[in-house]
This record gives sequence, C-alpha cells and structure tokens, in this order.
Amino acid sequence: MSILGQAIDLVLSADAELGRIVGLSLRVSLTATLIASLFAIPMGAALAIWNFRFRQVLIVISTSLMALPPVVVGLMVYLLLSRAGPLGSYGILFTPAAMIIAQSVLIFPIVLALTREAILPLNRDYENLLNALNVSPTQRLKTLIWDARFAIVTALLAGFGRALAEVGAVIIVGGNIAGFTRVMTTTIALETSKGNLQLALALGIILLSIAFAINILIHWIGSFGRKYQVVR
Amino acid sequence: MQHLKIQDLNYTSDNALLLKEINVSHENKGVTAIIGANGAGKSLLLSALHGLITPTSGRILWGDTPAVDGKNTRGYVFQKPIILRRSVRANLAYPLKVQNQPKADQTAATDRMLELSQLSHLADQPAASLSGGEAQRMTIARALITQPKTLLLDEPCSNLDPASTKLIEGMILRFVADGGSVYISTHDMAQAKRLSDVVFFLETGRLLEHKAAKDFFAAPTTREGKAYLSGDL
Amino acid sequence: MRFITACCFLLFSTMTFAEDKFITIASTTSTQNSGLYDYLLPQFTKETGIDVRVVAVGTGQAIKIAKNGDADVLLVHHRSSEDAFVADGFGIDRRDVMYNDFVLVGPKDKANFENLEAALTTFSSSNDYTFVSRGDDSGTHKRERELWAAFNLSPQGDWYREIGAGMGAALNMSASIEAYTLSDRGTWLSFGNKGNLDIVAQGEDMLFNPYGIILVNPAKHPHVKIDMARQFSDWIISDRTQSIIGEFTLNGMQLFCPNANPEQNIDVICPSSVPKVD
Repeated sequence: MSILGQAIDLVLSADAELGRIVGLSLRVSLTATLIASLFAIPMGAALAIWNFRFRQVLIVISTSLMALPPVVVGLMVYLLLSRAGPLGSYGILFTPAAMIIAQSVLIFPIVLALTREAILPLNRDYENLLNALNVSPTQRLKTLIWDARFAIVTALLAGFGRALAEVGAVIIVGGNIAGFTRVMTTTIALETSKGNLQLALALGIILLSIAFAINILIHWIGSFGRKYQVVR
Repeated sequence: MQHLKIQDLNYTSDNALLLKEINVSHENKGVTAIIGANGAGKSLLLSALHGLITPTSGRILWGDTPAVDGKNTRGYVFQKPIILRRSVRANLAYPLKVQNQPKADQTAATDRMLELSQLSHLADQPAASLSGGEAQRMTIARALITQPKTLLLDEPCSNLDPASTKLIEGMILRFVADGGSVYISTHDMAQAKRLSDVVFFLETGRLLEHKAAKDFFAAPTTREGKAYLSGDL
Repeated sequence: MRFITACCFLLFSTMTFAEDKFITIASTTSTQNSGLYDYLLPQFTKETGIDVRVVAVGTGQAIKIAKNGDADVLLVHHRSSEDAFVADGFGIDRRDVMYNDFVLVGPKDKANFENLEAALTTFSSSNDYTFVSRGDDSGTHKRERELWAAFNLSPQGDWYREIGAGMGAALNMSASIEAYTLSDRGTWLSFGNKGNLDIVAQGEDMLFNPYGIILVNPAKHPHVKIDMARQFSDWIISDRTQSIIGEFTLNGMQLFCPNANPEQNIDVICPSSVPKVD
C-alpha cells in the first residue's frame, strides 16, 4: 500500500494549512455540539420525565429527524440563509456560522434521543423520592440531568462525532471556501475530486484518529459513571 | 399538637377498591404502627398520608392542611431505599439543596445527619456502595434533614439483619423523644410491639382496629385481628 | 451557567474571524481544481486588502447562487447561460477573462479516433465503450450535451452513465472503469489520479472553453458589494493580471489563455493544442 505510506508521511509532516483545517473542523463541530445540547438536553430530559400533550408526536418527529440525510439538512439551512431566504439579510451563508447552524440541526435529534434514553431509567428510580420531597420541575430537571451526566456526555460525544464526520451539509452551506469554511471532510471531498488520493487519505487518517479518541473517551466516561450506579 | 383526620377515604385502582371507607381521628404523636397482612393496604395508606396518591374519594387532613400540601413538614422513607447517584454526603444534603438552603446550613445539617446515622466514615463514598442497612439509615437521615414534624416509614426494616434493624429503631425512637411523630408500616409484630404507641390494623383495605398498641396486642377486638396476631406470632 | 457562557464564547470566537472586507465569487470547480485561484487570489488580496471567498460548484449551481444574491461575482464557463443571466437582469458587465479547451479523455491504447465526431459516433453505436457524463448541469455537462446534439447523436443506453457529480468524480470513475469522459483541460492537467487515461480527442473549435466574469446586479440585490466586485473585475482583466494568468502553469503546461483584451498584445503564447478563436 504505497498510497497509505504516502498518506502517513503527509500526516506526520502536517503543515499550518492542515492545522487550520483541522482546527476549524473541531471548532465548528464543537460549537454546534454545545449549541445543540443547550436545547436538546433539557428537552430530552423533559420528554423522559413528563407526559404532556404532543409528547408522542415530538418523540416521533425527533426520531425521524435522526434519519435525515445531512444534505437535506444542508439544503434546508441553505434555503433559510440564502439572500433569497427568510434569514438572508444576516448574510451568514458561506460562513462558519452557517456550518455551525447546519451541524446543530443535525446533532440536535441525536442528543435529544440519547438524553431521553439516559434519563428514562433514572427517572423511574428517582420519581418516588422526588415526589415525596416535593421537588420543583426545574430542580427535577437539574437533578436528573446532573445524575445522568456521564451518559449525557457520551451523547454529546456521539453528536460531536457525527458533526465532525459529516460532509453533505457543511459543503452546501459553507461553500468549502479555502482558508475560511474548508474543514476536514470538505477537503477530503475536494482532494478526492482532484484525484489527490494520498492527501484525501491523510485527512481521513486524522479524522479516524479523532473518532478513535472520541470513542475511547466515551468508553472511559461510561466506566467512570458506573461507579455511582446502584448494582441490582 | 397537630391532629390527623381521615374522612371517608376510598382508593380505587383498575376497578379494585384498595382502601375502603377509612375514617380516623388521631392525635398526631408517638409511634403509630400500621399493620396487616400483605396486600392489606399498608403502603397505600402511607402514600395517601403523604399525598403521593390521590384518593378516589374522601380526604386526609394534617391539622387543617390537606395531605398533598405541607410535604416539607413530613419525611418519607420507602421500603426499598432510593439512592441518588451521588456520594452519601450529597444524598443527605439533597433535600436542603432543592430548597436552596445556604451552603453552610447544608453542610452543618449534613454533618449532624452523618453522625446520627453513624455514616460519617462513609460520607464521601458513592451511596451505591452502601450495604442495605447503611442505605436505609441514610434515607432515614435524608428524610430527617429537613427537620420534619412527622416521619412516614414504609417497612423500613424488611430484609435487614437484627443489628441494622436495631440501629434504625434507635433513630426512630430518638426522633420521637425529640417530639416527632412516626407512622411505620411493618409486618414484624415484635417490632410493632417494641416501637408503637398506637396501632392501625388494616385488612383488605379496611381499617379494622385503631387503638393503643398495648390494648391491641393484649386483646384485639375483631376476629380478623385475633386471627392475624395468632397466625403471625 | 458556565456551560452557557462557554457556548456563547465559542460561537462568538467562531463568528469573529469573519472579516468585513471580502467578496464572494460563485465559480466553477474547473477553475478551482486547477489551482488557479490559489495562485491568483493572494496577489489581489495583497494589493487591495480585499479577501476573496470562492464557492466552487458547477456552472449551473454557481448561476443559481448568484441569482439568489449569495455571491457578488460570477465567474463561469457557459456563454449562453451567462448571456441569459445578464439578459434576465441578474448580472451586469460581462467580460471575457480567459479560455482553454475541453478534451475527450479515455483509456490509452483502447482505440484511435479520427476526430471528436468519430469518437462520439462510435460510442453511441457500439456496446464496447462506456461514456461517463457529469449529469450535474455544470458548464462541462452543458457543453457535452451540445456536442451530442451538434452531431445529431442521442446519448442513451447502458453505455452512457450520468453520474451527477463533479469533474473529479467523473475522472476518478472513468479511470477505474476504463470509460471516456469530457473534461476541461485545467482539471485534466491537474488531476492526480489519471491511471490509464489519456487524451483521445482535442483541438477542435467545438471544444473551445471560454470563461467570463459577471457582476451581480446591485439593482436586483442591493446588498452586493458592487464596488469591491468591480475592483476585482477590473483587476482580473488588467494587462498585468492577464499576463499572470497566462504564466500559470502546471507541470510545465499552460492551463489558461487570457483573452480579456484580444487587441492588446499580451506576452503569452497559448499552447498549440488550444484552438485560436477570435
């Protein structure tokens, strides 16, 4: 495999340009993860705790959104942010902010569903106690989110991984502008289209290493959280 | 002293009448043992007393306050300890924390409760690592940390060894000595005799006897009471 | 709370590297993939302080982006679409910038064709050849459709594969399945995965591939940065920039012929393979 060898050489001799691309990838995806989680975590917890009107509808919608292909999300955000679209006047199409928005939309249902899944069993354990202590709804949310934090961080990392690996949405709304909105995945797409397979593969290796690191982190956090869990 | 009034209490679930026509007027002091066979409605009555279930009809008043309100004046302990995924200390502090009490007050009260429950040496352990007896002591201390007037205990010593049971009974008696009132459901007649001043005897959802403990154990008036005591002892 | 602050900080820090002084160009992958922009634009930014953001897509999509007002300048290669864009009032001041040509590439040594017409005729009448079409409404795709039509051929059947992807993807696919495809010379020369592919037809007038620059009409989209856009347009057709374009080579091959000012005597010789069109 000479291509693989060349690719590894390229990774090792990473230049400033490559560093910028990797840095932007991380920054965009990290910000998108944080923004998505700001909404998805409380909503996911609320869906797990309370039985309100439209709860089933919301669950079905969010589950369906998980299956949404990134290009479709990209297209929707594109139409929204285009000058011809409703939010066009802000002029954020083809900027990192647009990419963050698209990735947030993409991550939101994942974090929502995984948070709900993490809180459901915890709420079953805690519900009687919280009722007996007459805990307010806000405190209830805080308690359950805090005590499910290890599982929720795992959910965030899963969302982050999806955002980082995604190309379809960011290439549409970011435009893959050199030095400005070019991230790892769009560079891989571009270099592949230029027939520079070594460079594309080199970036792929970096992406893979990050995914690997994220999974180790997920695993580690999971084992840390089990310490506080009641063994039955 | 507060007065406990239960008026025409009925509770139905899935078309089964689980609590039937319960009427009580009771001076709220000392230890009240709620006894009866499995399925007699002991746990349900305790839940209703704390307003955790809504009666199908009738009402429960602590003084003038309906049971759904004033939860902060009572402590409630479940049969199976509910353990928060936190340290022992954080479990104890939790009721004060959700009431947004000052940090210093939380710490002082928690230290007192650690001592009371004899768990100081385990304070920073995850609560999940406690033994059954330790966990139940922690949940009782957690119920006491808000300084309630009344403590409701749902079979707190089932499945516990005699040593653990003794420690828990010690906590209960100390609370009563300090002027608290206790309602404890139990199927351990020896425990009921040891602790209680008054007995509520339930059978299939009806309150058959409500009298001083020494009278009940000496001579139950109902046939069911007699049968239960003789079968159990 | 700390979490929310961190979020805001991150978002803010991401937004702040959006500079004010920039223009957005909707352009084609062929110009970007050749490396021309990487070579040319830093010089413009150095001279004027204006950052140039290139969104490289197919010509058809580039025109749509410009029509929506999401770009300030359009630089594409399909003359009739460009003229329609201006005629419909979306653009102003179209100018010639440069040209090169299209080439028909395919597996080396598989067959010899007398000319383009012979090659296309053979493809459409035999099952021994595969043709990969961009199928993405790009300038190259539009030209390819025009070529079939010019020879009265109808590209239909298993041998004709519309892949709906960019030039690079079409070349990658052609290399791996021994197929033929139409490419612009710039992308072809800079393409790094040629495999067994080589040029099988070139140098005919029909393969002429001119690039034009158009300003997005500020009357249609008042927010466009018309002044900076005009500055860029003036700069790219200036004699000096035109020379620079002519001097751009890849592996010793010239990729584009400047033709903004045909009467001007630019000191650049266009490669003999590229047809001279006035």
